This record gives sequence, C-alpha cells and structure tokens, in this order.
Amino acid sequence: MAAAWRRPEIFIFIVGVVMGISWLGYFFYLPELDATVKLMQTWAVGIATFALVLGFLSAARIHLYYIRRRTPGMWPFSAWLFFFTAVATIAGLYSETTGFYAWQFKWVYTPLGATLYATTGFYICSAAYRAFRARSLEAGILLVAGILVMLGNCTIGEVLWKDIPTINEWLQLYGQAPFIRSIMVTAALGLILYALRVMAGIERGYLGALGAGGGGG
Amino acid sequence: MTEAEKSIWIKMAEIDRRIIYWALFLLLAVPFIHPLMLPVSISETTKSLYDFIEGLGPDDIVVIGIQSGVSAWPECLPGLVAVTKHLVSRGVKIIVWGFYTDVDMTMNAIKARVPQLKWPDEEVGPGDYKYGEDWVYVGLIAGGEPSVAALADDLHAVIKADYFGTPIDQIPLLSKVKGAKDIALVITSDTGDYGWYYVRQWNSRYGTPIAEVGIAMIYSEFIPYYRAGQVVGLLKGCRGGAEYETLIKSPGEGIQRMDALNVSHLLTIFFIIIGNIGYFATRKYRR
Repeated sequence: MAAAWRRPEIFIFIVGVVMGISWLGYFFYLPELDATVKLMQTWAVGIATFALVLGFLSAARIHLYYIRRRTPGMWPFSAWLFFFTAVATIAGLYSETTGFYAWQFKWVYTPLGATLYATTGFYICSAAYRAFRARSLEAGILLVAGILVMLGNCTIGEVLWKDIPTINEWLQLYGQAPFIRSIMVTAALGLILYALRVMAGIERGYLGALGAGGGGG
Repeated sequence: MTEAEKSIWIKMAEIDRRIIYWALFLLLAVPFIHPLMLPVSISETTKSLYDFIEGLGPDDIVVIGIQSGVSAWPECLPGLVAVTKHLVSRGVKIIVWGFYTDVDMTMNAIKARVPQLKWPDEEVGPGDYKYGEDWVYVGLIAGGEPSVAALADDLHAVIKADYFGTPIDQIPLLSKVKGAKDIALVITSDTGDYGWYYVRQWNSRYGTPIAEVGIAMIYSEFIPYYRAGQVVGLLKGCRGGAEYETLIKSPGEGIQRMDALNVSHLLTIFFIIIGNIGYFATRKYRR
C-alpha cells in the first residue's frame, strides 16, 4: 500500500495537469478555467511561503550536524546562528516595529549588509587587475570594451573624452543587445522544451529519489 | 634587458592585492576631502523613464516593487528616491510593496528622504501625500513569481490588509485597484529575478509598462526588453540614480556617490593598464 501511493506516475500526472491548466490560463482566457487557475495561484503563493520555512529547516539540519560533531572551526558559528535566530524570532514575535527587533535590523543587519556589499568592490578591483589581460585578440577586444564601459559608467569618462558616453550607450543598447537577446531566446526555448518533457513525464529529475527509477533520457 | 629591468616589469604584472586594496581605500577618501561633483550626462534609458513619468498625473496609480535589500542601497536607493520624488511632484498615486524581508528598512529610508509621504498618524500639510488616499505601503509579500502573477490577476486575493493591518476594503486607494490593468506603471527595484517576473506576468499578459531601477549588473539584461518596448525605462545603478537626480534637479546621494565610483573605476582601469604593460613586457620570458 505504501508503495502504491509513492508511485512516481501519480506525481507526474498531478504536475502535468497543473502545468497544463496554468499554461492554458496564461495564454488563453477561458472563463471555465479562470477560477481554477486563480485557486492554483493562491496555493502556489502559500507553498512558496512554506519554502521559507523549508529553507531554514535545511540550513538548521546542516548546522545541527556541525554542532553535534563539534566540527572544528564551524560549530561555534553554527551555535551562534541558532542563538541569534532564536533571539531575533522571540524579539519579532514580541514586536516587529519597536524594541530590539527594530534595533538589530537598523544597527546590525543594515551596516553588515552594506559592508559586505562594499567589500566586493575591493575584490572586483583586484580580480579585474588579474583577469583583464590581453592574452589573445578576443581578450584584447573584451579588455577595450570593458574599459570603455567602465569609463562610460562614471562621469569622469566624459571629462577625459566627450564621446565616451555615446560609445558606451551604443555598446550597451546596440552592440551587446543582439547577443543578450539570442542567449535569452535560446534559454527560453530550452526551458519550454524542458517544461514539455516534464509535462509528458519524460523528465523526472525534480522528483528526486522518487523518480530515480526511470525517465530523463 | 637587465635583471633589474625585468623585475620591474614582473612587479607590474604581479602586484600584491594588498597594495590594490590599500590604494583603493586611501583614494576613496579623496572625494570626502575634495568632492569632484562632475557633471552627469543623461542616458537614453533614464530620459525615457523620466519622459514616461512626466506623462502621468493624479489619476494614475503606480506600483513601486522593492526587491532589493539594504546591501543594494548604494546602487538602488538614489534611483528609487529620485523616482519617488518625481512621482510625488506629478501627483501620481503610489502603492509600495516588496518581496524581500528587509523591505521595511528600504521603505523607511525612502520615506526619510521623501518627506511628503506621511504615515497614517502623521499630520498632512499642503503638498503632502495622505496615507490611504495618495499612497499605501503594503509591506512584505512572500511567494516569488506565483505571487507576482496572482497580484496581476487579482490584487485583493493576495493582499488582505496593508502594513498596518488595515483591511484592504477600508483603504480608498487599494479598493480602487483590482489588478494589473488598473496600474499605469510598475517600478521594480531588484538585484535578481523579480524584474523578469513583472515583465512576464504584468507586461506580457496585461500590457502594464515596467521600469527597472536596479543594480548596474542587470542593466544589460533588460536592454532587450527596453528595445522591445516592454520596459519603458531603466536606471543603471548608482549612475542612473545620479542621472535621474539631475533630471529632476534634486541632487542627492546618487551624485555624491558618483565621486566614489569615479575614483574606484579610474583606479581599476589604471591597474588593468599597468598589469597589461607588465604582462606584455614579460611575455617573451614566459615562453
């Protein structure tokens, strides 16, 4: 009995029906299906919200493992993660607009987030110095284009040469747009094919261990 | 070439990264001491967004979707603030929501810089925006693209109350809006995928114009949508914010931050050139 309800065909059928109805609801206005499509969207919102909880539980599982095993260099940070999660959760349940919860968002989370983002500037400067070498003709073209775009992004570029903004705009709007477009269209076609394979039950990777027995060819 | 000359070129090709970090750190202090305040030219995509908002009025409702966190404030906040100021100057009604957990912080930051936006318990003066009638803050909405799609179809199915818990049918502005068809423009500020969600679910299905006020990294990826007319305007990170501040004649943090951008970009280009000189000078010794 346990094996029957875990058959992958059941899940494939449900996924196929849901995808088919969603697809019809997206491209065609069918009054008969409208209520069903809206209901499925509401369910999807609820399920996506549960993903937040799932994300935390996945992280918790990993960090509990580190704590249990006293993994050197890892377990103190994992313990700190749990401690601060508990503190922030209790503070948020007590009041989310005042008190410690608001304080820690304003004076801990915001400065740390800004600092983390700001440090990437240093890494990028160092990485650009190392990576942007004209080892070949293509690399040289990339180097020149990169420098022109960088000069165009900052105001000092037009002080050095008044045509920099024009060149930069041309590169962004016309130079690279066809290639970005082709990549996007190609990726979209690939996604459509993948979705059709999922609907047809050929692609079963999303089922994980449940679908490991078949398909995907 | 003597050994001493060779070692100079090798040093140029292999500069210790700590020197780069210190040079950048010290040079970033220069604009604080002597602001450069260079003029900002306006790009086509920024002007396009400005012109579109100039065509809006008090009968139009605009959604501002905040999908960028506090870490993206240096890039996204100047543009968001400038666009909000422009909307307020045109008398456009505003609905604000977000899909990131720190959306409240960004909303408070915008409100601190656009004093016309008043909370329900604040006194409303001439020219101010009254909460509930002229603007509404919904707060955090979870759920990714399904939520974006559901909002486009039926706002009232997703949003039951605003940030303060006031039921939606008691908020005059929200009770007027059923879905994407009632919205004149969606301004999305994001660092990832949400801009595409709005293009797919709001513009492709309902024709709602979209504008992107995001980080510079995703600017290029939205150009095809801009060229296709699905996105009416784009702001390119901090530079886009500075351009918009220039257009609305309200200099702010965007223009201030351009000095730091100038210094960091120039220094990066300098090191790239130095590195390439060293590379070419030592290339024959590597063979």
